[in-house]
Amino acid sequence: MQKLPVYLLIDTSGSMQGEPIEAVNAGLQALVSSLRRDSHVIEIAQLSIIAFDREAKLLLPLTPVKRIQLPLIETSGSGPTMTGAALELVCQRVDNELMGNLHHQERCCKPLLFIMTDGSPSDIKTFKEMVPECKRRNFLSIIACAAGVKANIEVLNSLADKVFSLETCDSNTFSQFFSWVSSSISSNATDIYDNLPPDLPPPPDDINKVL
Amino acid sequence: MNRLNKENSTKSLDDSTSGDFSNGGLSNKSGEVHTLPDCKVGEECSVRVSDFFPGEKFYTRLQVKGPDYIMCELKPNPDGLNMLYYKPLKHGELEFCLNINGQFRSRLNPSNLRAIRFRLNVTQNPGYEQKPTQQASPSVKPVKNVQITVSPNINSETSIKTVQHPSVQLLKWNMSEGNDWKQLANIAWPLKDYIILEYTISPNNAPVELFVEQRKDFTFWLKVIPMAPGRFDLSLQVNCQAKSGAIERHCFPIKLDIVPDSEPRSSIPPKDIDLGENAPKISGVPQQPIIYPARYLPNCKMAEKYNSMPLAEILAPLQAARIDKITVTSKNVNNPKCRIERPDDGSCHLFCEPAEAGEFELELKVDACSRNSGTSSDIQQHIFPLKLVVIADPKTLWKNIPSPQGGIYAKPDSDKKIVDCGAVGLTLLAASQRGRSHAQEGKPRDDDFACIFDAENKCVIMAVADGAGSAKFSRKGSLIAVHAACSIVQEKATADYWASLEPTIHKWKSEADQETRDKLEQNIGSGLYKVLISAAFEAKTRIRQEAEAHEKKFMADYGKSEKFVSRDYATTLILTVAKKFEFGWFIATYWIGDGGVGIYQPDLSRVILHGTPDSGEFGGQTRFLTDDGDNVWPNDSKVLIKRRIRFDLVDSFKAIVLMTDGISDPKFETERNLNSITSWNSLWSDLEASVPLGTRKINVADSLLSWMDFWSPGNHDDRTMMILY
Repeated sequence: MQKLPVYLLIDTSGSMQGEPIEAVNAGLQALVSSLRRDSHVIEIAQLSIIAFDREAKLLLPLTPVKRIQLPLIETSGSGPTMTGAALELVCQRVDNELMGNLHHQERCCKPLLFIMTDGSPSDIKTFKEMVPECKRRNFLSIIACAAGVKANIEVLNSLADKVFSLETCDSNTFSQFFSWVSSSISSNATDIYDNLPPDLPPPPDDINKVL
Repeated sequence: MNRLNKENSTKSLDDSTSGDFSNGGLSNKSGEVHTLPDCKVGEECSVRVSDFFPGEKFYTRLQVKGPDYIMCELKPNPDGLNMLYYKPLKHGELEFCLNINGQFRSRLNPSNLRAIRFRLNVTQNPGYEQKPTQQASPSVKPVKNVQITVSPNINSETSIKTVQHPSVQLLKWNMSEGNDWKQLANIAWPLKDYIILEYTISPNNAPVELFVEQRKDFTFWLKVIPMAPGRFDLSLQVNCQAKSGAIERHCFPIKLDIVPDSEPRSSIPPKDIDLGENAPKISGVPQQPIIYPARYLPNCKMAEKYNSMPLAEILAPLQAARIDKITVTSKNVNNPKCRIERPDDGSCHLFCEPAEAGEFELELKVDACSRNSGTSSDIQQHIFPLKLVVIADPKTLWKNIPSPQGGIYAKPDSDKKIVDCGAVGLTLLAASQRGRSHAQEGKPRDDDFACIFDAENKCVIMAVADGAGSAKFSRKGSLIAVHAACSIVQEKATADYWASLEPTIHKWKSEADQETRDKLEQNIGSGLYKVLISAAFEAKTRIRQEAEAHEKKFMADYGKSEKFVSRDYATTLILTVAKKFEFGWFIATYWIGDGGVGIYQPDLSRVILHGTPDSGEFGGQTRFLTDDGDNVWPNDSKVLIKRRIRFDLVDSFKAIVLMTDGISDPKFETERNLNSITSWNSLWSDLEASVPLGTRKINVADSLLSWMDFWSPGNHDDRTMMILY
């Protein structure tokens, strides 16, 4: 059976505290709700959430949308933003959760990766090492979201196929972003049925595509 | 603009607001009563808000509701500290409860509501004349709504985003019911994360007098004074403030049916308005409930009528206690319907009967006391907020929208055929069904099939094709492919052709020497090249010609040029020819793309998979007849034959089955299973159970078509199947 695994990497460093992280939680809730209402997605999509601040934490292992019970995402206090460690973890998870299937000849779809950060990787060396590793993992698409003005778009560009920047970190922008993520997942799920190459819907107003 | 708050009520309000614990106005855990410094009637005093929420974080946008005799407001003081300002309007030793609504962040208590109890001694203030609560006549007293928020300027209409909510609430009214209140239960639930600022009902000119009152957070009450029967489309408009601070207007449509009543309206005595809502009054100091952190129940499924969940894990904190009473309530009125069952074995189960899918909040209230205590006085109430996710039945999420039948390359959404091959003692059965993924979007069927029985030559020609979902005209590609391929095979596989091939095939059957066999196989392959490969190539050519013709036609019809190429018609093709000789069945197949074709021989416990599917590493990748690459059309004809042609000679078979991936993916899942007799056996018994294959009449094709509608999660592609049996 075909699957659409989705990995979400979310920055939970201190700067996300307050409204941004509340907005992320609300956004995720809305995201999962809308995925549950999509006939294509509900059967094939799986979601995994990894948070990163001073370390990378697996908050939700790859779980079919039907069985998801969303964890509450919290920020750490101040400290570094270990984006590289998060990439390392996601590669590990992909190897464990997906590559095994390929050995068993199960037809498995390529995963989608979304990464959202409002800062710059503190472990830039690891980050740079992990970029080619991620590319080797055959992601259908890697989409980065630079939240706020302090996000380092340049490093995200080196990793992602597409980088979107959110000018503000308020709940309105985040909710738009997550609803866009949701429609991206839906459209990818539909494309899978139709053997279409992956394509993303146009981003909403408050999201700027970085070229 | 908002006359609602000036509404005249016929019954006085008491402290019901302050005592309203029923709507989740959860007390803070400490249960402590805060004593406020003494003050005078009409005097404005203030206290720091954070003092009431020890150990909790909260956001500043708090909203407060209290009884009528205290005017309260939450706002920062000049130093930026959040203060509660209060002004008592009556004197005496007051004990009251304030409901504070806002964004809290607390693991202890996930609710956004806090009810805090205060004690306040208010002395008389001769200088302050206004004592509205006590002196005003009940009939002119304003309805509560001490909702004092700093409301930003919401008159700047241009900046307000308006959200129209689609769901309609229906209200039925009897003329005789005039002057009664009805609730719009949870109508404002979508605004749970907003602060409600102002609300009104429109239109104002409806021949009803309407009042609306927000009593609970999400439930609005509507008071109708009907003048004449009829149906009215109303809209509840709520101005509210999002977390971001943006003001939005939300409109909730309401359909109001006022039905005539035989009795004259005047004879109905006006009913009292029950504003009390059975709210428990505070008497003395009640035992404060213990509130636990909210937890998820296992996700429920709509597809299952009853969902039963053991509560042992949730009730673990009360292991040592004796449970007297346990009740469950859903915040969303009657959905899901929940009840508790406590069988004799001491276990405790929650049964849920969801009416619709979604995310719900439940509350489990447990009265418990220690096991060895006999008195009821030490009963402690425990509240377990629960979250429940009800997953929709995926089958109900699919829509079936007919594909446009007048448009270009239109094709029926399903097709079927049965051919009596009496001359060879067999029946040929075929059916093709549009997949749910296409039905959902009203897209046409991309699969197709064709077959010819050449009775004279005792030869059956069969083809199925799956047009690529990504190609805009693949429905036409598959159609051209199957029809072209079949007709070319019929044209080329003449009596002479078979006569020339027959000795080679016959010899090959009994030849033992490997070297000679290889040579014979090469000869047969070359013979088949002239028929099967030519047919496939001709099909590819005709598709290209169609693309060119369409380009010209497009230019002629629309006067603008657009490029159409073979790729727009991409399709797979399985083309099988089965010829009966005196010495057995000779079966040959040309196969490009995914799907499957097999010669099913259960008597020999064997299936011959007639080729190799071109399935990629990841789902949904395959090769197409219309490709130009070296893999599909290698220059070396020997390579081409070896890669694409397979032939066998068998004494007999139970069936030859051709199918597109819409069938092979759900039924076989992997390529290895396509080779496994066990998988074929289960497919066949599955078929036999629903399709009366033995009758060999047209209704068999109907049965096959309806069987092909089988449910398999994640597999909703077009399905086409052809069976020679």
